[in-house]
Amino acid sequence: MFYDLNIPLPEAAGKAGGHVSSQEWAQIAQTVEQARVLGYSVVALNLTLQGKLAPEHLSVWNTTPEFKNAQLSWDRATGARVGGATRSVGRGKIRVLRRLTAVIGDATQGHSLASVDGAYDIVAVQPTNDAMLLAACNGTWDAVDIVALDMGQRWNFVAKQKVVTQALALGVSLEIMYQPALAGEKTRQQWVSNAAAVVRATRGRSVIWTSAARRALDLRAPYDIANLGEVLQLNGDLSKRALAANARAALMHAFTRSSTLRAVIAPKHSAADEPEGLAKKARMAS
Amino acid sequence: MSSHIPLPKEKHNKSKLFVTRSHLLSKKHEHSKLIQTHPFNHQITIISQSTTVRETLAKYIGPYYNVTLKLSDFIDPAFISNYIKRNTLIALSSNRYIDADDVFAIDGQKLILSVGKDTYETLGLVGKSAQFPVERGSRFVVEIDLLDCMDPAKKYYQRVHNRLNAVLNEPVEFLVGYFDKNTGTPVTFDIPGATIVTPQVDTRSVPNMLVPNVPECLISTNEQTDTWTEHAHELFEWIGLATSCSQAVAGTSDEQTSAYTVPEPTSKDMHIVTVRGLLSATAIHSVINELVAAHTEFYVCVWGFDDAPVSWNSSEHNFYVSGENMYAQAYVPHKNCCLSFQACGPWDAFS
Repeated sequence: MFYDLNIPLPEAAGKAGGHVSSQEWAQIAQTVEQARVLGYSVVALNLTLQGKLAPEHLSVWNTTPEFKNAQLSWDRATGARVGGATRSVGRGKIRVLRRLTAVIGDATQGHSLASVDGAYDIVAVQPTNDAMLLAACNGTWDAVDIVALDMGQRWNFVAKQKVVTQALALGVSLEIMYQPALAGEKTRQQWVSNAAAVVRATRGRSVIWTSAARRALDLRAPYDIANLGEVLQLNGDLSKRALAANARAALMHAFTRSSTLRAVIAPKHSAADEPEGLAKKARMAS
Repeated sequence: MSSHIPLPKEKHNKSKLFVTRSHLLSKKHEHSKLIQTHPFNHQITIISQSTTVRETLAKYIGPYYNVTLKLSDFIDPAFISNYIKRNTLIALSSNRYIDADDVFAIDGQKLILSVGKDTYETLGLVGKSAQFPVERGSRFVVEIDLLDCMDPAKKYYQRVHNRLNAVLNEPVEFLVGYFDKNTGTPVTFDIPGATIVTPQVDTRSVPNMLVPNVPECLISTNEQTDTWTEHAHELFEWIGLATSCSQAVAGTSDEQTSAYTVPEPTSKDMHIVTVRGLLSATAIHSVINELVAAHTEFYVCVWGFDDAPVSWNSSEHNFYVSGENMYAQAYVPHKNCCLSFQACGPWDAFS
């Protein structure tokens, strides 16, 4: 299975009181459908927020429309998460997850991520300086599955191998988003430099490819990404791993962190907790 | 890009081409083994001067079937005794990708389940970690021998039946070929719901085609000198161009656009026949035997399915950035010689 763990919601949705309009949802739905056609089995809709997480950030998901040929990891009516981490959704369908990316400039913002626990399928942090990168990688914040770095902008820090190795040891993945590689010349140049730095620091391990595609045309097929990886000396095997096994590992890391007791005991979701079961419960209650 | 990045070396990151010279009268029958041990074939192209190739192909190659079945149907004792034991049944799940989905196949004897980690962890059947992807633990292969231990009274059968019904209980679309064991000719597959599919046949005549003379050094020796290797590469290149009906070998290309020249060319009227569908290895072997008996030089190209779980000799096969598992043969019957070229993709255990 191929995964794309970053289909971003509009930037305005990440602000306090932000929401996603029906037109924007329609564009996201089109992107998800295109991802399904290209061969992806699991995608994650990514809410990026600046600053501390607040409960009203969850209200963004209240207006989620119905996606064609997709199965959401949350109930549209209640917003509650349903199902297991890597449950198969059957042929021709795509699984849609929820992801939160917190842009962290201050250590206290990272601690608020603990309150997310259970609401999102994946939690990522985007550090803005050396200290935050170190904090993201060394386990200061428990609720981190992915370290996201802005690939299109010049960093004011260096992704050192010693720092990144700590993240890899904790099972935290590093993300390379390829949308900036499709942008203008200067952004592309910066992307090559940044992505190469990530590959150098991680030696190609625990890297995940994501699209950060705001529209369907920004998506690329998995084998195109494998070819793009050759530019970064990520051979086809490592690139495919970054799209499949590593992404699955990030998902399992998130599931283990949020839904299990010390990675030993996990609650078994009954049929009543499936989306259809929840709808039936709502009908019977009314 | 800097070359000092110490990325791990990969053993299986290159396609390979194996070239074998075999004698048609040899007891080893290497050229025959190559054909008969490659069960999942989807296209054959024969290039020959003979005008009866199409009729020869029609004698042995025929229809196959599209059918939707549950996996547990294949282990049903009635199915095994009526179909698996009587003739050769080849089945491959359709519209499934070996590197992304769960793929199921029957190679005539075994039910092969090539499944991802999630499916394997819930399936509850013993399998082995797949060699590909190279990082172990992301794909697993479960093989169930349909000719052995499929007795409903035995615990093994009951366990397999229960687990397939519990986990892999959704109907799966299959391409099914049902062939006579000895000749490979198609036999009626009368499962309810099976849709018959006729293979697609294309015939093309190329007058004055530039055909290379098979170099004497390729026919007479196996010694792999630089010259031998170069001649083998040239012949394989020509076969590839001929099967795609390239203008370069038809003698109609422009010197400005194509720098390719046929080595030691002879002008001959050739016929290129291509059949696409699910093709029996035994049928391909029967066709080739008949063409060899006609004592004319001919060339054969056979392509395997990219998403087949096995290639030659039940070797594990997967899809890297290509899933090639094809072979080409050049027959020179008047010298009792056959040159075989086996092309394996990077992720093929045969290599």
